[in-house]
Amino acid sequence: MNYLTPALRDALAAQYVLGTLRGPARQRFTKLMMRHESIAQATWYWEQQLNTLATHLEPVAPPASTWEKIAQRLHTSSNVQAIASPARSPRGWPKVVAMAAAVMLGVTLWLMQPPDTEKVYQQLAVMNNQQSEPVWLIKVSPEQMLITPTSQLASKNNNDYELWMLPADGSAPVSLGVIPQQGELAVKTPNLVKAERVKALAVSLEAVGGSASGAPTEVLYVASLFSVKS
Amino acid sequence: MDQEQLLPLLVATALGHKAAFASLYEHTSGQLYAITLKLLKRADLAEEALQDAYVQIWHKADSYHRGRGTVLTWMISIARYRALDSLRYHKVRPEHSFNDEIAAPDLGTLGARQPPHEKLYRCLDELESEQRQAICLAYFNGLSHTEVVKHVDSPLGTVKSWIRRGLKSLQRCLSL
Repeated sequence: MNYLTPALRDALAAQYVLGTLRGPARQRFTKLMMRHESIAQATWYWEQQLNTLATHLEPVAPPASTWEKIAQRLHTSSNVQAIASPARSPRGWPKVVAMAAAVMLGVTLWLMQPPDTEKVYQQLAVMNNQQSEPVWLIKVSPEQMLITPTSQLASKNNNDYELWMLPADGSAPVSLGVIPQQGELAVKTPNLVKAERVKALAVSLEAVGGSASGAPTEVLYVASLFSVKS
Repeated sequence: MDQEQLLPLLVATALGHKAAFASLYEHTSGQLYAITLKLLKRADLAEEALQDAYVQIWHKADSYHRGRGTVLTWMISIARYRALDSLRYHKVRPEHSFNDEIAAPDLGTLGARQPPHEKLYRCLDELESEQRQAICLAYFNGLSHTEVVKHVDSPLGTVKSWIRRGLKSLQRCLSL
């Protein structure tokens, strides 16, 4: 229960933002903020008001190395790559951040769709490379699509692969997101696939993070979806 | 950069676009560094707090919404809280700095590139000068009540009351 009167709530919020609320009182206030929306809102009000003061301070350029340190901290792997400064080129980002994002997407989708050992796959697609070796296997059940790269897939450190649906009606490709270069990814089966209104699936090569334009950049693999003979 | 320019960058950051995050950093890091430097007075700690702030901004970008203020004031909150934590943790506050470096900024000459037009400044102007000075010392320099006491040479009870009543008057003025 919120036991603070509005006056006390506002006073504490103001001193929290100002920084004069300290020690155990500050910790108690932090907990209250998480518990009570009205206390959080009072704090946001003061943040918005008081922090306009700081918007008028004369900017001071941080050391040039700061950006690289931030990029490295968002990069959890040990093989640190050269990272461009934001002013010169924003593209030199570590791949692991993107991979982590892709894994996060996978985890999120996976959480939305708990695994079921009794999956019955009704449609299949196999994407081959130019040597006719399979590189991507895609299995579709009514609940989930399972996307698996094979060992023949070329690893790309500075790019991501992105999966697309090509609708049967000839409309623009629909992205299913960046797909990891190793391990299995399960995503919820899109309605378009369920309704069998997808002509084919495609995988494109994209800059890290996926297509920025919303359309595939360089399509590498295309395969039709086939029903399994029952 | 204003809200109209920063918001699309933050939205793209929330969606995982690194180029947008780099651009957001490019356009805001000078402002945030000025704040952490003024609070911490030590370049190494100020830079560390700045790094922490941007790592948090990357991870928390999707929790921003308009109720939290503008993108810039939201980012400033993150940087200030980080610097205030560091200040308490490192207890950086050498006594001599009270006289040398700490001065409540003159609101008219904050180093502003343009005269502040926000209502907040008008309301601050209406406060008693002791109230305004105590609030500015706490806000810009991160002074605690007791540290403000040493700086202005007035009893603790008086300083606490300046700040409390000053904030209350500010709120009243801002709501008019």
